[in-house]
Amino acid sequence: MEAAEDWLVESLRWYQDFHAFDLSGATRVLEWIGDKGVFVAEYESLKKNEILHLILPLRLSVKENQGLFPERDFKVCHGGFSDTSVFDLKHVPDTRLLVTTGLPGSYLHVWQITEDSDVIQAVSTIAVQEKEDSLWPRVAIFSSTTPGVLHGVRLSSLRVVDLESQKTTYTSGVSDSEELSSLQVLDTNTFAFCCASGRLGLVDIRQKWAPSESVSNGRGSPGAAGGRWCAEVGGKVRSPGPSVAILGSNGQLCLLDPRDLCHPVSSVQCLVSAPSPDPELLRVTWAPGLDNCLAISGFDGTVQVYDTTSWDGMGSQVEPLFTHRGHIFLEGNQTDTTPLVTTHTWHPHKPRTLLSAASDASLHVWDWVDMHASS
Amino acid sequence: MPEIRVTPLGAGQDVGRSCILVSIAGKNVMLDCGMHMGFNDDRRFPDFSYITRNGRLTDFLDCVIISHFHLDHCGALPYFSEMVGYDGPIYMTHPTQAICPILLEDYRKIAVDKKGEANFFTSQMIKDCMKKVVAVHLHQTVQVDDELEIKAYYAGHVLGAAMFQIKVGSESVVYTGDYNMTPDRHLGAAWIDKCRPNLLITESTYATTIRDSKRCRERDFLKKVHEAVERGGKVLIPVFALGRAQELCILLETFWERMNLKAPIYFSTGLTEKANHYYKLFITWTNQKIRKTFVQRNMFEFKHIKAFDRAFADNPGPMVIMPGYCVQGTVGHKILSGQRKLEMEGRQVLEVKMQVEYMSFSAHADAKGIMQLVGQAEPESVLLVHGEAKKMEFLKQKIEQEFRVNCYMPANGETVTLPTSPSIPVGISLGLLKREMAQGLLPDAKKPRLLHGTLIMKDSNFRLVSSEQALKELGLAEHQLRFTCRVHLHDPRKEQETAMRVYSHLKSVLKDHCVQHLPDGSVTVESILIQAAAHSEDPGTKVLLVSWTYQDEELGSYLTSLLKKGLPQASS
Repeated sequence: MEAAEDWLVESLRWYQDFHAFDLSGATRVLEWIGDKGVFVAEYESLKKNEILHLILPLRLSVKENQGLFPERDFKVCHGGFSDTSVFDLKHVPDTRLLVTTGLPGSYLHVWQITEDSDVIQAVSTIAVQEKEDSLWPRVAIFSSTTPGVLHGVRLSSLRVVDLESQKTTYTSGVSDSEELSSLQVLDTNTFAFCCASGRLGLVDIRQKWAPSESVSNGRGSPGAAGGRWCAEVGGKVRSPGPSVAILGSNGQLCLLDPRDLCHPVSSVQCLVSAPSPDPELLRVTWAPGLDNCLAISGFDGTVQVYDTTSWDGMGSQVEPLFTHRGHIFLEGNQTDTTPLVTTHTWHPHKPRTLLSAASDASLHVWDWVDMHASS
Repeated sequence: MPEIRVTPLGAGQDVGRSCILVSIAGKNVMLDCGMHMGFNDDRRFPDFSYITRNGRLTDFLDCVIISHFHLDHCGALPYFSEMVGYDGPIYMTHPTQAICPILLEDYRKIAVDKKGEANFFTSQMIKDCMKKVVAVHLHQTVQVDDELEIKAYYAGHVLGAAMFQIKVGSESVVYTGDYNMTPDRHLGAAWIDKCRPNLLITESTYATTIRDSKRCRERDFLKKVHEAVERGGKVLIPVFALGRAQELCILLETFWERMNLKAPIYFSTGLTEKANHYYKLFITWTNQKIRKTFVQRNMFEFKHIKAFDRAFADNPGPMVIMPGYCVQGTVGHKILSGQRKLEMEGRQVLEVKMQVEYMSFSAHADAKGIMQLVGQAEPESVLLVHGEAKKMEFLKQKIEQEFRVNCYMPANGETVTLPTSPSIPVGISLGLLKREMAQGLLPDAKKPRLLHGTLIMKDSNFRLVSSEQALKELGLAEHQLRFTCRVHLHDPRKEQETAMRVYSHLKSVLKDHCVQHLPDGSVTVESILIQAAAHSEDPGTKVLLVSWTYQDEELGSYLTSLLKKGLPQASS
């Protein structure tokens, strides 16, 4: 109790804003809908898992006169129940539909947010081509007037299924059985994939499979060191520089230019206790509102923010710009094991605001102070 | 009819005033009597005409229960008891009894003196109303009458807030009022035992929220205070005496010590006196930490917190923090709505130069808290009030799934009827039990065993006795009913031979029964008698007379149909 109080007092300097919530179950999902709502979902096996559509506290949404809004609570706008565990959830833009994936991995589930009640209803399922026992399909959405669901467990089973007709509109058509760790849609025709081995690729779906790819075994390249990897392609091309970040369970972080995935621009060793105890939880995200900044989590109970501006060369140790330790000090359920951060995400337009969730069902919303910036 | 009926007159999908009518085993109880703070006309009162249009409320209602002193739970009480008319008992906890009249009087003053309202209850009415109050202690079973009893449980939320169990015989309802499942610095958390009521009525205003932790609210409060002080400003805290005042003082004092701050903090004196007085009276209602502190020193002896001087009002820069509820019509309320220019008495216009921060520390149960309370009490059904139906469908499903109970969400004026199956205790005579045991076959704990007896109902007492004992007690003679049936058989032989054939046949078919051939020629099966006689007109036909008592009806009918099928051909 004392440690928590001490940390909170210290935190007055480190955070502009800080909110801590206790969900009824831990989530691995933090998916935005607009800039005022997020989805969370439980992932336990053998129980009914809740999927919740939460509205951000009013205080965090208003732009002016924040002081006149005392509301600091999340509102549960909609909720639903899933019989299977949910590891990832994607909202289909401009619709009231959601797609979830998890274990067992034989189906993707499609849900609808109903209009006149607060229940999220299951509407249909999409069968996964190759059913595996312990692997679950990654999902990304091609949004258009006819949205398509990109999904797959391995490169060989990658395909796009039209949401409405359930017809397959694209398949990778390769026999490569490398396991996927992340999928990301970049625009109407391109997507990026990252394999668990660290192999990266950008694919144009208008062509037969011919991705621009990274090389698995080049010096300093991801994958050469082994471990499990995940990646994210930065959305904004605000400043020149590499926009692909790939994070390994050994704590290595590489930056690459999408035009030349074979030669990483830089590779650093993050200040984390590696290897990650659960590499499936690794997450690297680019800040939408800050140049060259990214956040990582999945090694312990912290989220770290790094400024990549001056990174170059290979193998240097780097220090984070900021480390969020809230999940360690404010243990929700006072268990013996320290919680592990399961996921995090940046606020769409508040530059230094993040949301993070941990294995003890805590959910934090925090706005960190940049100590290095000139006041 | 064994049923429980609940009608929200206020609350029930409308946040504003709580007033719930419960009908349980013939008793009628009114839960809370709140005022809707958003209306200025009759809509602020619950619609009491639902209760009875012509009859007197005193005759219809067995009692009224008030959960806590917030006006949306007790604000309409003087109107109800003195203007509409009710003379029965009003139950509430001791702190509620002490604090209610203060709030009611404050509210009356603002409504009548400041806003100039007519047809409002008077100070005398408040006093007369409070004379009808019977105060209760926590966990004390209070007999309202021979059959109706109530018991209060700690609810947290505010000083004196309670949850009430209403019990008639084996049927019970628990009403939560407003409650809080997480303790704070001056109050504990709500608690109830596994009382398993038929129905749990719970407030669900915040059921669809996930509450920010108390620590983060406090952190924000301290941050704003600290920033103002660092800028060179001063801190002024108008706060409701009996709410968070104590908490905030402890918080600030601890923080000032830790950070070694020197800036003075001001607190209005009238407030400290009142708060001090009530805390002294009701120290057992606060949490353990406060009680320990109180023993060591006076509650409001702080190093850094001092009495307020009006001269500070004009300095630029100071910040006002207002935790809690500012009643409509007050300066505080206007400032919190964002007004920067205030028209004061005498047409003087004041500019609001200060930075305003509105913070809420009020403690209500959120979704998690409600699930916890339902888990503690283990009710058969749950009823949600104070929420919006469309926005609670998910919570309803969640409760129904997790606890396998029914969940209801009535609107204002809508009655929910719950069928109950009350258990009726029946005494069974030892003689009857012994007789059953003597029939062999030990009782199997897992299988129901069929017993035959007579139920005697006398003076609200139920007993199960044997028929003989019942006849004896009631001084009645036993009547015997006997049936006789004639079965015609084609058989040219003599009656004695027919009887013999019948005997052999029945003996071979009815192996489980005692079949006997008596010396006079008749055949008995258990206690059923069969006699063969010749047909008066047709020597080739024999008539079997089958005779049995009412008790052997089943076997008798069976035998008759069996014999009607005829006898097997005799071997020579």
